[in-house]
Amino acid sequence: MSDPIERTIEAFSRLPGIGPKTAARLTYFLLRAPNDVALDLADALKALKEEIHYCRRCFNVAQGELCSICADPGRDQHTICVVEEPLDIVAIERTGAYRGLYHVLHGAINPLANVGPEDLRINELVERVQKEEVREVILATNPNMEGEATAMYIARLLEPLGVRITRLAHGLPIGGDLEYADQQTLAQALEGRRPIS
Amino acid sequence: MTGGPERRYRSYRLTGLVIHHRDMGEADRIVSLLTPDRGRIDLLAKGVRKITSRKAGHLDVFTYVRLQVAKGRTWDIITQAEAIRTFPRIRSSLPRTAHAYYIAELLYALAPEEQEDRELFDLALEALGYVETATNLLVVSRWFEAHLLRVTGFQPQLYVCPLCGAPLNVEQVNYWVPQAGGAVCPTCGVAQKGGRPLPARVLKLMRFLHTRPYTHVRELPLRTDVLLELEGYMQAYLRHVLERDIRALKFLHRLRQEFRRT
Repeated sequence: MSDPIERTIEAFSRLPGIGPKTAARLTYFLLRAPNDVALDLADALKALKEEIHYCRRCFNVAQGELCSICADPGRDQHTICVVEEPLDIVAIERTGAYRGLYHVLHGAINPLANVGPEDLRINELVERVQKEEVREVILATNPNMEGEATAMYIARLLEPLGVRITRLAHGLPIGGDLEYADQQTLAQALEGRRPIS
Repeated sequence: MTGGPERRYRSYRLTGLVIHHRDMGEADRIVSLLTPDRGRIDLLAKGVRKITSRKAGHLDVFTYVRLQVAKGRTWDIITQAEAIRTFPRIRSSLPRTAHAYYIAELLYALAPEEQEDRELFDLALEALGYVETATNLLVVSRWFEAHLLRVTGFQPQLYVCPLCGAPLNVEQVNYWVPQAGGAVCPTCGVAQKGGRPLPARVLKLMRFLHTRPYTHVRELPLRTDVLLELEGYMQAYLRHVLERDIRALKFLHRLRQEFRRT
């Protein structure tokens, strides 16, 4: 195999979920496709790395210094929703139910994978809460052990700052069957039950 | 792979304790379990990172779970999961979570793969049960590491000097030399590089922890400073056994520094 082909296969193989066979298939597809398909992809990737960086306030992806959410004066400036990854923001924004700001940690505490609080944007969150007029911090880390540990750790750090700290509710997914729910989800759903009005 | 006659079939049942997981692909996870029949095994749980997954809630770390598993080419795949026991207090308390991670990391590192070890499994389940309920978590971790080393064959020498064979006098200061296998008599210890004086109070406590069930240990009025002192000696020994630092301990130390109650 000539070198550019090998290099492209190797580059695709490094992406999550892509094995050597898929990498080879994508490479040969691009080789046969019209020039603009491959060149558009190359341009987009270059722009992605050169033009996109992290918002200096919330660490969401941004084109300028601030991301589009931090730069929007119409958002509620007193509420911060803490998420693990920028993709979580996309999911919450899709609901249309939240109009506050975000803070992206870029991971969750996972001692077994050697990810500690010092590897996340937690200090920056504490600084924001100290400096900005924040009234509520919503902890929207994932509902698994790592997400819970991260939420508890942040809650402990923020407690002395006198801000309201809330956690996303745990409960049953819409469309699911009750009989398949695990004990912890069901117990938390029962605890968090609400009257039907 | 080894195993009973059930391995001849396309699917089999299994019970185990989830001690680790890592993400794979779009929404899958590799789940590491400690099982009584096959030691540590890794299984593929498909789609469990999706919020609607029926299996996800049963497969989180520190869940004792009953599984139906289908044989696969690279990975055996979890097709059904049902939690037998969960540890809600570990989940809702940061110090308990940190100690449970410490236990899980040691289990992951020392449990044999694909090899029956019921004693180790029972110890793991028992220890997590104590992390769930104990008032002094330091006692649980010290007790657990002592018994883990015994069960996995890495028990440190606490009675006879491994270098000269002389019985150790527990009333004097001996030396702690992990690379020699544990406690060493003062004569041999002085000459050993990396050795550290081992006070009588620590050696006595080690002997007690290594031989007693937790129900006896928890009755002792143990001082926090002595437990932390013992932690230092055990860390040196575990680092020697594992040939690396214990990651969960870094997190425990950080919590201790920041919140002073772990």
